[in-house]
Amino acid sequence: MPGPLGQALQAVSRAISARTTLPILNNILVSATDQGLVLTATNLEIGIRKLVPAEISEEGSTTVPARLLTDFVSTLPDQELSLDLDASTQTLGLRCARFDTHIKCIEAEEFPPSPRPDEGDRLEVPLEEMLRAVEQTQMAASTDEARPVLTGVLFQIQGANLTLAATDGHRLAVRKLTASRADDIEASLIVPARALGELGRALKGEGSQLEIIISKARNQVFFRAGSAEVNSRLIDGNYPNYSQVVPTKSSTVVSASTTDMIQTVRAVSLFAKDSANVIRIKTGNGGLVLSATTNEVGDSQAELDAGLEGTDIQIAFNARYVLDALNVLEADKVELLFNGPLSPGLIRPPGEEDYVYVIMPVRVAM
Amino acid sequence: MTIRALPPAVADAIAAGEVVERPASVVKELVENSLDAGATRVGVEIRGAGKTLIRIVDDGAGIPSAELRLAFQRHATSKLQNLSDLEAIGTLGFRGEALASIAAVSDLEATTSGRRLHLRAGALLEEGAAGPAPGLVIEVRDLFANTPARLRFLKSDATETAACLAAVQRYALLYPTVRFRVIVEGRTSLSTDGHDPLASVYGEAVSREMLAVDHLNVTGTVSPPKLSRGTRDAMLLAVNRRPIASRTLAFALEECYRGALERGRYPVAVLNVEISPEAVDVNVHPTKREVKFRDEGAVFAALQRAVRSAIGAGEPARPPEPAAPGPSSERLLRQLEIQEPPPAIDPQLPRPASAGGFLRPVGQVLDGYLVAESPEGMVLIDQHAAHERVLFNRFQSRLEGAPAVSQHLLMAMTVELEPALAAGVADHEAELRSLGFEVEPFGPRAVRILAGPVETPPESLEPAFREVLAGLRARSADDALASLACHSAVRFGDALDLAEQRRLLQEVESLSPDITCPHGRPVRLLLDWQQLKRHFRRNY
Repeated sequence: MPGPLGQALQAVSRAISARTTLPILNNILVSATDQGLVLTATNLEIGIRKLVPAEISEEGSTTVPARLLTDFVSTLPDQELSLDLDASTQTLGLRCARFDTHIKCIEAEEFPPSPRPDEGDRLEVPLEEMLRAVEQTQMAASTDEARPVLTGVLFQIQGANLTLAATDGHRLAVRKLTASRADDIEASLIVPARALGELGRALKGEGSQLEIIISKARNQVFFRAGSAEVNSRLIDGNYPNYSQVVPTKSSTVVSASTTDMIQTVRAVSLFAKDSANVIRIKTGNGGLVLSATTNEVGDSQAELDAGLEGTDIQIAFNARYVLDALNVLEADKVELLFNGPLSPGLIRPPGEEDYVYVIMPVRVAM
Repeated sequence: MTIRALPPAVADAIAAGEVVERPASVVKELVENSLDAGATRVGVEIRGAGKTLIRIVDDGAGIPSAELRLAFQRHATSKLQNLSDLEAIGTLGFRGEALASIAAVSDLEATTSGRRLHLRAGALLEEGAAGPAPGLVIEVRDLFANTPARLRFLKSDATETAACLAAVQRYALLYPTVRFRVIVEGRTSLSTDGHDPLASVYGEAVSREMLAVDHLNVTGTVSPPKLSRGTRDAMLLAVNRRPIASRTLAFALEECYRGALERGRYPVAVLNVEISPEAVDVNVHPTKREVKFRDEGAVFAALQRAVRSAIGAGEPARPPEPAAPGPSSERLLRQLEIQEPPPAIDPQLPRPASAGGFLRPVGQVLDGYLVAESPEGMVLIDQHAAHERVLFNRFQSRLEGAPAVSQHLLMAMTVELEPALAAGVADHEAELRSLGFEVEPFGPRAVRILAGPVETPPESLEPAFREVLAGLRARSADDALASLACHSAVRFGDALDLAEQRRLLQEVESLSPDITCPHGRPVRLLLDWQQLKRHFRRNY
């Protein structure tokens, strides 16, 4: 038993923030329902709910300190675990193998009520594809709270067409996918990137389809797969019109091995520390030359086999932005499209239209 | 009411007020007399905060017995003979007012060259022979007894005593070869040994750390940045070994520590500017504390150059970058209306590879301080202040010609500006560009930012741009750089992962341990191993 319970506890604990001013939010709501054991945690922005199959003899709920319960359960042997609550003292008894343990709890009534989707708009997408799409966009979102809309990922829904987009002002990631089932809706939602970051852990392995439910008030979104759910508040505001910055033409097209390029950028960028991570990319000699220099550290230059089309170019980028894209490309080959040293560069899996990643170059005065 | 000429005693008492306003002025005047007389030993005794007794004993030339009576007449002096001498005053005293003024407001007895003179309120009481002691002894009793108004204006005894002591200290520091001894209420308060007055005044520990200044005509000693005071009291500036009060020179000195000292902290300094007597007018004020330079800008520059070379050459490594003298001193010079180029920046010292020693990351607390281990002990680093300093230096080097690195924006950012500020964009295009900003005009009161410094997060670009522009327009490159660094640095509250911590610490390693952030706040706190051992009583 502790196996699935332990994993579920770890998954929901992710919603608990390290520093909360509300002590009850350090607890997990544990509810024995007719479906099984429901675990819920929230930081009031993101909520995660998991259902663990269990044999319920009497329904009831309480809230248990998350850290203690998770740590304790993870040490237990893989044997039957029984939980019983003494409601008058709010003490949860755990019995498993040789262990007889009691944990002091706080009444379930103190736990903030979770938002419910009720009759929201729904669409359904393949779970794995959605998780990949999230991974491919979420890292481009801003981490700076100064412009809240950019800390989210834009979900544009038009019938069955779903587009995810994220930008921090320096780079942009756009991923398109098709819903397997959708209400006839048009909507633009900005979902906090941090909430999306929890989808993978909370929903992986929970069936093959993901249901996205948008609350009627359009202020909450629910991601449901199998018996698990992640909900998040939505970010209020207008997302910038990103489509205009996706380049439509290019004068140089480069294609290279993704893994070789990752390895090369990583190595060379170690010499790009002082100049804020800037690496230079130059075409020539039937390939690419990547280089970086820091005065006090040294310099590094590496050649990389690549297919070239169009005019030669020399361009510079923040290495981190390049690596972020290469790491989530999920294709053996990468295509880079340039249109001059000061125009946006585009990275994508060769020939694919569903995913584009746009990076603004860096101008390095010589 | 009829107008009458004042009786001499009243007139003298009024005139005395300008020279002798408190016991410390008596001490100052008499010590100056002793020094002008070539004394090598000066003893000062103070009782009752100087109101009861001030006694000065020296081994100087004394006053020839025949001239003793004359010495106490107003404007009688041995130091000046004609008006042209006033142009080139080489002595501390010269006005011929001191002795007469003191005599006018006290009961004074002078003994020199075998003669003794006793005056009260300026009037001769007795004159006679005395023992043939060398030098001069002057005893001033009952100071201000005949001018009760002045007496009432004196501060507390402790304050007046401290002022007397401070007056002697100033000369002790400026005349290191003269032995001074001050006895307050029968106890020795200061005693210099004729070669290291600093140790006597500020203590051995301070004296050991002080850095010698000797550059052209500026000599003395200044503290390294790690030694500082909360007041300007320990900043002693002198011209031809005459202590002076000069806001301009004090500013010049403080500027040298800019960026190395926190705001509100001041160095310890004894600085003497040797200058041809014709180039300075000390006859501005009766107490001679204020002076006028013929060429203040040159003195300003010389002092800064001297101090910079001293703190730059100090051991251990001093702040690698001279604390940007350019714009702010330039501004000051302009205020003074001196058509002088700003003092040149001393050539940058090569940056030591690891001035502050290796820093091993341990972790982060409060999402604001990095904890690290160095060879000296445990180090806490204010992540924002440290990063600000690193970026400030980097931006400064770009402003001085290092290649600009600008990150272009996906979507140009439109920034509305007041017309005055918008007009400044064109004037400062070169500087903005070298910092990494690329902007284009967008109507009369707006610009579009196309690119910004690589280090500046896009969200901070607009406020950073505004402040940089405002700084440049105010001709304060330092302010502009500080704003940019502030907006670009990691913030207090940003959680940094281990890689980010390591990276920041590496950059901090190359900074002097005493360095502050551009606003003057400290960057690091060291808990050295000794301190830790002591605290945990690991005495083995």
